Amino acid sequence: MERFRHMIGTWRGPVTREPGWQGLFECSFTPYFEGAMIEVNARAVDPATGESKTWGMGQVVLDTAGLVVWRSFHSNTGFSTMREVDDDPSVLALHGALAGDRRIVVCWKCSGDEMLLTFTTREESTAATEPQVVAHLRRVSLPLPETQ
Amino acid sequence: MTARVGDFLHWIGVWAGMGETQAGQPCYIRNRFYQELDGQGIGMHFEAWDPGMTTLYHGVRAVLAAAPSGVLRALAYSTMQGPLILELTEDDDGVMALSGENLAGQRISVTFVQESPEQLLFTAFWRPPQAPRLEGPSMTCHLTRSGPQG
Repeated sequence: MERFRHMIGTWRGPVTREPGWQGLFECSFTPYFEGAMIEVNARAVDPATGESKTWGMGQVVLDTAGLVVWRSFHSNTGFSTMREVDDDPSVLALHGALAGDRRIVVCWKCSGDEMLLTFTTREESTAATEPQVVAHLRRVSLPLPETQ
Repeated sequence: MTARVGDFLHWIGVWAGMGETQAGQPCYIRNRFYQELDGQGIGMHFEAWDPGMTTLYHGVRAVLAAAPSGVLRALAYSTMQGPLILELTEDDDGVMALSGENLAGQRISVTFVQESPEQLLFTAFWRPPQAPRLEGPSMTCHLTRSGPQG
C-alpha cells in the first residue's frame, strides 16, 4: 500500500459530468489499521446550492498478488468490486462489473499535488467511450492521524 | 421485518465493553456507529484490544447502505478476514444481523441486538465452508453506550 501514500489526504476541484453538468468534486483518502486499508470518501457538489449530487465510498486493499482491489458503494451505481489493470505506472486504472451487465472504469492519475479522475460506466457489450466524469483535483489537506 | 438504514441511526455513537476473544483472552471492545454517505448509510468502526490497549486483536471498518435492489449490504474490511461484503438478513426489530463470506470462503456472521436503550449484545462467529453451523470461533460481548450520540 506504500505506493498510494502520496494519495493520502483530501483533494478538491472542478468536475464535469455528461451531459455538461459542472460542479465541485471532493474526495479524501484515509488509511486505517496501519495502512492495511485505505478508505476513500467522495462526493460531487452543486456549487450553487451546496447540495451533494452524487456520493460514494470505497475501501482499497491489496490482493495476494499485490494488485489493488477496490470495493465501493456509489449513489448512482451501487456496490462494485474493481480490480487494478495494467496502465502507465503513474495511473491507478480500475475495472469492475456492475449490476445489470454493466462495466465501470475508473482512473486516478496523480502527479505531485494534482490528480486527474476519470469515471465511465457502460454496457458490457458496448465499446469504450470518452469518460463520463472528469475531475481535475488539487490537494487541499493531509489527513489527521487515525483517531478511532 | 425489512430493515432500513434509518432503523439503526439511533445507535450512532460509541459503544464499549469487555469481552473475550475466540481464544478466550479478555479484550476491550469499542464500536462506533456514525452517519455515512450523506445520511444514506451507517458506518461502523470496530476495534478489539487487549485490556491494556497495547495490541489490536481485531479491527473492522464497515458501511451499511442500500443496494439499488433495496437489499442492505455492508462493505467491510476486517484485519483478520480481509475485504468482505455482508448482507443484512431479515430479523426482529432492534437486530442488525449481517452475514457473508470472506475471500477464503469462510462464513462470517456479525449480529448486534439492542437489549436496552443503552446496551447492545454483540456476537460474531466465522466458520470454514461446510463446517457445522455451531462450529467455529466466536466472540460475544455486551456493549454499553459510552460516548455521545453522533
